[in-house]
Amino acid sequence: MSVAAKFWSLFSRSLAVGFLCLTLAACATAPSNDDGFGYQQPYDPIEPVNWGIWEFNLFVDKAIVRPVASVYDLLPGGIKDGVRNFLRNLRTPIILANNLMQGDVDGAIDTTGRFMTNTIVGLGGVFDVAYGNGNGIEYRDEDFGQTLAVWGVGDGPYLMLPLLGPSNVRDALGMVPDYFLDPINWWAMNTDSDTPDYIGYGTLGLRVIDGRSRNVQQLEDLEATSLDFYATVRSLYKQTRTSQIENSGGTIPSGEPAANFDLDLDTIGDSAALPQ
Amino acid sequence: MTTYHLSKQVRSLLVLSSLFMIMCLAVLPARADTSAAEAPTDFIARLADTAVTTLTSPALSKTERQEKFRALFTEGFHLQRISEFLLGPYRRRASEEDIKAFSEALEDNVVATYAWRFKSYAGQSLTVKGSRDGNRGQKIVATHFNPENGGPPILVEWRLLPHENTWKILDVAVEGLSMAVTQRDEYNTIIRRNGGEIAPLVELMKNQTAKLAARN
Repeated sequence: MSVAAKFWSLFSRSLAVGFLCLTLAACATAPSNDDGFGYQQPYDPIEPVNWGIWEFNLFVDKAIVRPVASVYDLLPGGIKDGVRNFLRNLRTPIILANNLMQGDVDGAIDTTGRFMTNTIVGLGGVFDVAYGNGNGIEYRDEDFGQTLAVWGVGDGPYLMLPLLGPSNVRDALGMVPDYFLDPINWWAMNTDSDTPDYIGYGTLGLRVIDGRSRNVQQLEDLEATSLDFYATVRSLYKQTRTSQIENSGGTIPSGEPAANFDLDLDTIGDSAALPQ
Repeated sequence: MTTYHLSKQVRSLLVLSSLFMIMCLAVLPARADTSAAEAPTDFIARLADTAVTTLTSPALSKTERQEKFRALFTEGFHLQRISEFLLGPYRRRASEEDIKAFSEALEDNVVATYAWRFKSYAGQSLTVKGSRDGNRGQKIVATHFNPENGGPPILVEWRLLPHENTWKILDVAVEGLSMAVTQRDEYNTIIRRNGGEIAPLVELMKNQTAKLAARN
């Protein structure tokens, strides 16, 4: 394939994602879905479409991803951790660029420090020396969806992406810049070789399998104890992203959603406080 | 890339499901001394201890474990407030009977979901890290849940409401994922789909409770 054709193939692929997102974004002006009690209904205007894709994803998961992940899970824990550490280290350019775009200098220093330490001392990133026994610098993922959020962009409608899973318009749009921030993709754009493509797909596949293998039993439990698994995952996605965007380290805010809590609870039996 | 989010997401689900074990740790006996207000951190530590001592014996029958769990759950958690929160905006339109039916279905559902997990208790523990102020007299107690396999501790936070010299739990959050918010979103989706009626949700919960209770 010529360089131009190669570039076009890569570019059109990202463009397709971007276009899809923009189309959706056009009808994505979030209405005020606050019911006056501080409770935000999940914003999911294309729920029937999402639901169909969700069913497809569940099918693919049960048919392919979970069986493969279950086999992968038989590997010794040390090897699996090595794979995860290596994959995380590879994401450094994307994380660092987003640290900087968010104006997070401390984050950028941590990201760089982790990369230097783990690449040199940790044998190319296989060992997370920087985190050490839990007292070092912890891995923290960043992506352009989070950067957009820091810049004040709202999340827009919920999206269920084929194979990629839960997302929203903002986070799906954020995939495009992240794609171009990944050196593997620069390489792919500047060579006739298929090697970078294979590496790209290979790491993607490993990332999915590694993540899935860590949760086989837990996801089954979650599905068994959910009345509406789709709605549960949608809620968890939103909460997860909020926590990542705020870099809260997993702590809950003292006010929100306690404000919802309080507002809800304080208005019990107090009809004067109800919005008319 | 979002693929990566997927695996992060999946990890979060893992963390939430660990909460099953943790919620199970939240139980308590009656306090002998009610003269002084109990520290929120002591309250949580007491819950964890009591859960381990009363619920994990392999000698307990299925029914015994469920009933011990139920007693401790209703004492440690503010079921009424939680029910009202979970119903969200639909609580306004709900009749007293609807709310009561939901609350009872919720209690049975929690018992059926979590009680049996104590049977396979394998040394998991909870370390209380400290507490901070929430809104209006609420306290948030941070704890570390230490998995039995020696994996890294998981951050679990408990939102507490003052109650008669001690506390009642309103919410449990694992690595920032709130149990109450998740269930509220799920239940509200179901209520909305049924035209704002709570009864169909209660039916679904009862069916699921029957299925879950059949395990073990």
